[in-house]
Amino acid sequence: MTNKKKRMKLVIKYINKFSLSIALLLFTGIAFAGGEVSFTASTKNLVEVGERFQIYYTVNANGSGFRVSDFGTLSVLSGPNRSSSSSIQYINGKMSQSTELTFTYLVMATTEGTVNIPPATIRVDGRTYKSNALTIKVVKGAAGAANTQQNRGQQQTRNGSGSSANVSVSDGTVKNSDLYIKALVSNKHPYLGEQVIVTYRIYTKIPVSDMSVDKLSSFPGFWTKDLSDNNKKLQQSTKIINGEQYVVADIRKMALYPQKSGKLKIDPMELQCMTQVRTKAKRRRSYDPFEDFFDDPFFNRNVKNVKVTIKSNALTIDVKPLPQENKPASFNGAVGEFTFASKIDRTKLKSNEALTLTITISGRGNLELVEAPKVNFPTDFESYDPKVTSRIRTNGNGVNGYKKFEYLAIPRNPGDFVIPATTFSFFNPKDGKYYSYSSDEFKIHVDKGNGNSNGITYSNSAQEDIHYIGKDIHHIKTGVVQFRKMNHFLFASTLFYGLALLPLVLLLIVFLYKKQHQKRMGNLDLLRNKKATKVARGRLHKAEKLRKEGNDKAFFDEVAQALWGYIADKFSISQAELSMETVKQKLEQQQVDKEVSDTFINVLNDIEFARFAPGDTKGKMENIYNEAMGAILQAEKALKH
Amino acid sequence: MLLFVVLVLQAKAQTADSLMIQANNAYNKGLYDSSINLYNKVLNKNLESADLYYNLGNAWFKKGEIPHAILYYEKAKKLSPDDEDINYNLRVANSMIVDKIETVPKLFFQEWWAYFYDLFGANQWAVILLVSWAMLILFFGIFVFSRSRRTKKTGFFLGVLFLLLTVVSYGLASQKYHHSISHNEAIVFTPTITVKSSPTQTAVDLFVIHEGTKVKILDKVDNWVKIKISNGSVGWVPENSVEEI
Repeated sequence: MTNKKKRMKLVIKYINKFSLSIALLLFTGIAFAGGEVSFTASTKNLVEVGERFQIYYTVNANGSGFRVSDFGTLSVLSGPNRSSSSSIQYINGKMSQSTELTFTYLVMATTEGTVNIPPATIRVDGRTYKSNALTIKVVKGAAGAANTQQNRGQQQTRNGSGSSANVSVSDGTVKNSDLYIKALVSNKHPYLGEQVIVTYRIYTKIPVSDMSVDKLSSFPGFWTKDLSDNNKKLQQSTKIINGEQYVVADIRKMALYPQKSGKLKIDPMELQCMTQVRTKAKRRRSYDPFEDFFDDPFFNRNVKNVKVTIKSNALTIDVKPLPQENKPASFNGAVGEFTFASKIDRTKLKSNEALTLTITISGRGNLELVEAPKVNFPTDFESYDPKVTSRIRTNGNGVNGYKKFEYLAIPRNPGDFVIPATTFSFFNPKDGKYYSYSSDEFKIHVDKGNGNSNGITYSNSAQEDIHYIGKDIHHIKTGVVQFRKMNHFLFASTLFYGLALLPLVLLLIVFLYKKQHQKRMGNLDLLRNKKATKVARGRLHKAEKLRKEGNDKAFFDEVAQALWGYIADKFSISQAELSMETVKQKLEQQQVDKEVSDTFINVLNDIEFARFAPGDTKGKMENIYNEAMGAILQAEKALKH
Repeated sequence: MLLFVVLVLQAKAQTADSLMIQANNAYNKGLYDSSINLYNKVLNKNLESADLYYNLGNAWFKKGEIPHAILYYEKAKKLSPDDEDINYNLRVANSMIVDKIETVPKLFFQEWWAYFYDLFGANQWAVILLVSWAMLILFFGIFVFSRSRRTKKTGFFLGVLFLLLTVVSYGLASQKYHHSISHNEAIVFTPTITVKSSPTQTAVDLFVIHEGTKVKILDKVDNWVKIKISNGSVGWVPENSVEEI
């Protein structure tokens, strides 16, 4: 220990001397323009945990022996990187020169709190100068991964410009076998949806100070879950490969779930590493007696930071489709090993009260992709989308945990209902079989709720619209079918014409019958007409006989009968229609002389009078007989014309 | 002899009935292929009915063959145009085909005519025509032979009423009849068919129609038919791409 310290002092002395001599050599006779030496330290005041940032120490002179004693809890990722600039000015024939020397550290904040960095020291012209002290407040990171990623990128570029010379100088010194990355896959032939774990493992023989992912693998056709813990430090181990010792670390672990079948390609991952490569100062070898010291890794003056980009191998994963046979209808993409449980909080309740059906799916597999199983609540229930709570743990073996679906339903009307069994099925890739679990069937009894709750349910109207659940064509007709011959039509058929003619024929028959009947009726009237006088005379003769017999009553009846009968036969009117009026009317219609008709009416009147007024009838009877005979003869004469 | 004919007809009808029952049972069990076979057996007996076509259309629908379903629904509708089930299922089937063709709007009297036209089938209209004709004759007879003025009046008005009904039902019955005997409508059976401007393969492509669309057949030349779709567009397609209703 003491030996080491001694040696270090010796080295510093040597370096100081060496640089001083160069400075003297360069700047002999040239005075410092400023005269005053300033040495300042600058950095950010507020950083987040995990943030990488730079600390700059600037001196406006050519100094040496730069030292920072302590960085507190900050971890130094690289540095000090030295850079210098100088300018020479001629003003009024006088030359002035200014030099600026900057030392840069790249550090990372590791723990929360305040970091005090004591002043750094530097020697300029034999005198020691002190910089200002720094106070940095480290707060808990809130911005998230994206922000740090961005920060990292920015620093990378700044860093890159500072050390670009280094890379070009010693690029060739990092061999492929020194540092490489491998993508390892747990299963190259998974089923659709089966979990595949991809591990990116870095193998290195040389120290690596900083790593940043340049290009992340893209996983087209996969659903991914990052299994690596960003906050944890990388777990390192050593491994002997081909007789050489490697440091091995898993830098990233992903659980992949193939979303389509077929060959899926995973692009390689690109990683940028800041490696520390020991270089051998060949120039000095010939005269430097302290070479052995510099070969010691402790003296990192001879260690160069080299930025190297390494690429992993590309992967091809052949995804097998899920078998189609015995695929349950309720299968909706769950692949893995799961258990299923369902539970209801109550089966007896009042209307408008809520019930909760809980379904828990637990196990390992693509749990996050498991969809809520469909619970067919009775249509009269008001049901809501399930509340999903999940606890999913990721570890090196993948994803496991449980997912809980809570279905809330409110029966709006009393009655007995059945919530049918809910089925959950999954595919187990281990034995390549489908498994189905069914919940119990729940019988729900809903009592009538409190009266005041009705107001809530039916705020607008007491009637509900019918809810249409599905749409389908109407069912077939199953009644007795009346068949008929194909292409057989009534229209324009013989039957049709027959039926159309039938009423016409009937009409014709009716018409003919009527005509015939009329003809017959007409003949009868004519006969009556012709026989009228004869009948009347016959009656009068009979009346004469009755008078001689002394039957007065019968005589008058017969005479009246002869006259009335004559009119009835002559004009074909029925006996019931006969009256004085009709007789008068009929005679007038036939344009008989008024004299004739008056005589006829008078005779009728006389007869009627004599019939109902008995008295001296002997002379009258003779008279009436003659008058009646005369009236009939007159009428007969008049009607003939 | 007469007895024999009656017996034969009865036997024929009986087997058709039992075939119908078997086919309906097959349909209820979801065996749509065998139910289609059984329904077709009835059709092969040269017997038809609206219910038979309707059930056959349902079986094709359940099989997922929408053009066949539409064809048989249309056939059923021809026999029984006012059946609610037939019209409903035809609407459902038509909503599942690719082409949605706007029909040319009809004038109000055309719509009324179409309404009466669809009220009954060809034979029903023929029966209505005959009854109304008979009534017309009856009231004409009453008008001519009646002595009473009131009866004459009633006979006259009712006669005029039935004269109008006779004229209208004659028009509808004859239109229905001619529509029924001439197969001037068809359903497209080819999934996609390009309608050409003339009946040759080299003619200009006019438009494209898809299976299930109903077309009117205007003309036939060789193996081509001239069709008209319901929006009025006209063109030629190969005869085997459509199936007559």
